[in-house]
Amino acid sequence: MQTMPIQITPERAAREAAELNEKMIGGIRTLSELKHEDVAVGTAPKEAVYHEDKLTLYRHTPVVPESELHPVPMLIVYALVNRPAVADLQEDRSMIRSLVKQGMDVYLIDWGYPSRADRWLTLDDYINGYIDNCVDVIREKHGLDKINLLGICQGGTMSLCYTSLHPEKVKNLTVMVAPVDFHASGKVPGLISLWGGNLDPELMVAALGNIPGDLMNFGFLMLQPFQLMIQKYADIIDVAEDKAKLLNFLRMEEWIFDSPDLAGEAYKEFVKNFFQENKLIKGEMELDGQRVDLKNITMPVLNVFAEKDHLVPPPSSQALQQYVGAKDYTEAPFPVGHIGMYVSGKAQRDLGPTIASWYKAR
Amino acid sequence: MTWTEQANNLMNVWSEAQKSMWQGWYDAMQNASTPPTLMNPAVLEQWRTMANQSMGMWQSSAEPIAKTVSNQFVASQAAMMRLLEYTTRAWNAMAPKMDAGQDWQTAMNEYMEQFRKQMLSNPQSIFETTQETTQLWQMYMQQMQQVSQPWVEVLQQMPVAMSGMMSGSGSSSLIEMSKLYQNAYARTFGSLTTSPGFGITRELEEKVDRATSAWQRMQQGANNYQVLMADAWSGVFEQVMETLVKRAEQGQPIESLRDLARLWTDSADRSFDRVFRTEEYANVQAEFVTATMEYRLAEQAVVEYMMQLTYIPTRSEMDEAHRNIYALRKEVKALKKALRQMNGKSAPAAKPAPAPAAAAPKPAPAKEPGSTS
Repeated sequence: MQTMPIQITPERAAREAAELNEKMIGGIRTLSELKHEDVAVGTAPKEAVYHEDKLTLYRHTPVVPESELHPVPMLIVYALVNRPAVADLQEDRSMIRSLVKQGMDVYLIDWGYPSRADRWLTLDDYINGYIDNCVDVIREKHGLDKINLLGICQGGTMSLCYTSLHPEKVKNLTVMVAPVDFHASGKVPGLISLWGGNLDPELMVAALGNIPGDLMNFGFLMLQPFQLMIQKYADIIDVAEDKAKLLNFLRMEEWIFDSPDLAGEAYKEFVKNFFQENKLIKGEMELDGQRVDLKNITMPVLNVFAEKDHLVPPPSSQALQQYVGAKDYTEAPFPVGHIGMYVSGKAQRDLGPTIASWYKAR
Repeated sequence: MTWTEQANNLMNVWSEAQKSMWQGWYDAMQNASTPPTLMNPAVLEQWRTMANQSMGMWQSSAEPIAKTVSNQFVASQAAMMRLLEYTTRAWNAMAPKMDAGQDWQTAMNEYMEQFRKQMLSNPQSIFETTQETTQLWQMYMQQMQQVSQPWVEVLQQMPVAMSGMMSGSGSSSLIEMSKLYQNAYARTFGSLTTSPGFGITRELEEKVDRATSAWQRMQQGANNYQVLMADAWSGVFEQVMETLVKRAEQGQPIESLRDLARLWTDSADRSFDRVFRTEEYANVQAEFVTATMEYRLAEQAVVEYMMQLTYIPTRSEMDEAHRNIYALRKEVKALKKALRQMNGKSAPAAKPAPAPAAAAPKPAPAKEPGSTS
């Protein structure tokens, strides 16, 4: 007779359930006492310097003396999916604060929340319109011909398009966890590419107008449904009475579920041109009749990617080296996942200094 | 101990864990009901309802994200108990066979086969039911009622004179519309008459007919999707049982509820990931999404027809207006940019935001026919 593979006694089960209950109820009590400022994200001091439609351009308040401030400001272009606050989750988990501490003059585009009236915004509007205007505002404010650019995730892809079309305005370009070759998968194919390839974005936009952020979020949760919808919360119950740890968790949750809708036309163009037809690396992408040629990107390029990225597989980002015209091309891999770039201790320790020192050396 | 005795022990584990969970809330909440003595799967749902109600009172003024996470705590504990329940049921079904001399692999395969059939029978039977046109129509009407309900409520709050003007009889025009639907049903499904309808009825009839067909395709798509999910879920079961037996053979039994839950979630994501990476899944998912989008468009056509009758601007008209405004704004921006360049300036006038967008909460999504929110 084999032993039963589950050796939980009823007494142990009762005790364990009681302990879990106690922790959970304690955690819920802690949660009920929290205030908005406790879980607020994106709180690094900043000033709004430009506003256009729903977009706001922020300048993060420098913390080093004017004389030590890097003379070339950098503009962070985040994705249209989710919010840029992930780069500034809390004081000790903030790429932005780290860059500011390194003496970088950091500007950030906040795209806002598109409404149904924004359904018709195209990628051209975002790239040749909004990004270009923000770059011009910063150039004029600082009296410079060129500024530094840092594009994150989808914002990295958009920054590549922008830089290709306006190379005269970009001094150095950093892209971070940015998809470039949308069909490159490495050992494990990216599920987003696999699923996105079969969807009909035209029909989706016709039916939905804008693509609801909640729908996008559901898609991301479905990548690891049990881990992200059950186990994650079961694990946090263990530390639910530790307010600091609970707050870390809540700020991340606050960011994850703060999902703006995506402007319909821009979504359609992105899925068709990038995910389905992989036009960026083929040199076939066009914006307002102008061809996006990655060979135009001849300024120094830093490519930061996550080695365990399940959303943007590393080969998708690393493909950039083959296509850009830059001779000064540097890769900075981090041994983390897509989100780990913003939350892992190692990434938080090294990411800001890596990027800042790269800019300062150029 | 025989397998059956050990399986009974597992039943006691489940029962004691549930009692303990209930007792914990009973002790913490004044409004909780007495812990039940009878343990069955329905108790878990009762517990969850009770826990959520208690939290609702507790957290009336809590931050939204705190409420969401609290609910997830309860949901994750309920999920853990549900997984224990599945395991218990499986062992209870397998134990007598193993006591009778059957090897565990055969007993498990038989159980898995039965489990898979049960998983698949529900969506299949739903779809089979929808083949029956009367029921199909009723289900469709229920869905349409949900769509039109907000309008009905709005119209009911309007002055009597206005709603009377619209309906001609003092009642909501949508009730009249429902009658038209019934007429459409009588023509499309309920009779053998093939003669075409006239004017307003015929136009509506066509739209309703298209929406009904689209709805049916959506149900088919949902069914196909459910079948794949059921397949993935049976794979989870298989992995859990295999791992349990392997651990038993290695003398490393599961000794806590948490470890059992973790075994389930790890196995589940592996099994789902295997299915998610197949071309078949990508196709079935895409077909389901396509069918859903086509239904939404067909539904929108029916709703817009109703709105036009009640002089309410439609989604399509709003989209047209937004598109025109968008095009005009783009033109104005281009002209301003050209003007700046003529004056030797490149940057647009710096215009600080009236309120920092980052500090503003996400606006509540508008409930629109063309939106899933």
